[in-house]
Amino acid sequence: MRVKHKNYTVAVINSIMLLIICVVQYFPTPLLNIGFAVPVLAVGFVTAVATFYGEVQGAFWGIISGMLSDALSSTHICFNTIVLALIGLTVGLLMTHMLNLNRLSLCILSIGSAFVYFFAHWLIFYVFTDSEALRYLTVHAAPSVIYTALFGIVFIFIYSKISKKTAIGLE
Amino acid sequence: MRFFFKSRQFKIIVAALAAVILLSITTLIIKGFTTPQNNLFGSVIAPIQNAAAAVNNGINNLKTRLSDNSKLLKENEELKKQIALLTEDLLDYEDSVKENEFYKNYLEIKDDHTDFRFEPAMKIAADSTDIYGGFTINKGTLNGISLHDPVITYDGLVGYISEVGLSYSKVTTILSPELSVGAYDKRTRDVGAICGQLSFAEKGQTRLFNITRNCTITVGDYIVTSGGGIFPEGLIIGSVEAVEQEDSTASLYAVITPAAELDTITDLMVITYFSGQGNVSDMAEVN
Repeated sequence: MRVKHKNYTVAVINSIMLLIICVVQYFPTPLLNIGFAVPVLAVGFVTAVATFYGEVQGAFWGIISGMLSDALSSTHICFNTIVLALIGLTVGLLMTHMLNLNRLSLCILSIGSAFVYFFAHWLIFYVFTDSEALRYLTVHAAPSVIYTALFGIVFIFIYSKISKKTAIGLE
Repeated sequence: MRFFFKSRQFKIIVAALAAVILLSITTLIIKGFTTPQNNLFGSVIAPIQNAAAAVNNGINNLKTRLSDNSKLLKENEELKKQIALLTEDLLDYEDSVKENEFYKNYLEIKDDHTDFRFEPAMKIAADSTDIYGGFTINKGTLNGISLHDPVITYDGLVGYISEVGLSYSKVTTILSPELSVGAYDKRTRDVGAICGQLSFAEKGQTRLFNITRNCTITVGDYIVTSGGGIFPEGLIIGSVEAVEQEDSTASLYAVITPAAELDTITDLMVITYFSGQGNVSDMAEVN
């Protein structure tokens, strides 16, 4: 049995959230970088949406946030669209069919999503083209996974509050 | 879960993803323009990023004003040090002459290139996940910008246009390994090729490789583009920070600090035309 939500309200909230994320993430002067650690806010956002609204919403907002990210990031292919959609879909399916909504599973999902994103990034953009691919993995990707996962937990916390407000009953 | 995989919703998600992938691959094959979905989303988000860039500039101006007092004290000390350094420089007549010659030559190059057509642009978004400092500017094909146009500041070369949309373009910087450009030492005329590398990009530097062992490049020399391909000749790239030996070959490489401050640039110029403008295949020949 699933919780039913006010779809229109959820869409508006997600759209606003996504715009804020894009502005902060792609601000001309990076705002959130700590050393080589860079958080990818869209990963946390998609994870949180998929956790509380299911696989379809997760995949949908994964595609939307991925397209926005692809339009602004330096990657020339639809990397963000595919990876974020897959993260949304997987997290949603895991939450619906396998995991319970508790702190441990949320931490695992948050870290797992960030890991999948940066591992895919490394696999596609560094392994075959960069002579210092291993350096990227250890010096850049590893701290970024932790940093992104922290933001993932923040997003999950925010969305746990939002989902309670937008819930209207059971399906 | 297997009911979900047979559901209409799942099929729609897969169809949407397939469409995105297909469009991206087609664009990748055709090259030259950005994908339709990027164009759409990029054009929608560009005004918002423009506003963010304006806010960023405002914050930077405010920061400058607030830190003026402590800055003046610091500047005073720095100026004293500079006076001492300049006095030494003046004594070294030969160096001063060479430096003057360099600036004179650079000015001459600028004067000589009356064929350059510029399009001023502003940095509106930076990809913080891109170690090589790639960013987005607020001009696109509607402003006459095309793929592989060189991007410069008054200080020197920044990079080139690697993706162009209707109202925005993406810039790949000289720190990136994607960019390979023929270059030479302005003083000694030793030639090499500029190509970025991860460990150098982390420090905001790039490298001039393929330089011969008997070259006379020294620290402080200025490196400029050698022309041909997508860059005109004589654009200043940066100065030599160190000259070191390659691990795998007998040749040397020079560590280059870009003349343009890539982290802090906001306003820049795109060279939309220069005589002898080539394409990216000419640039690849450098490798």
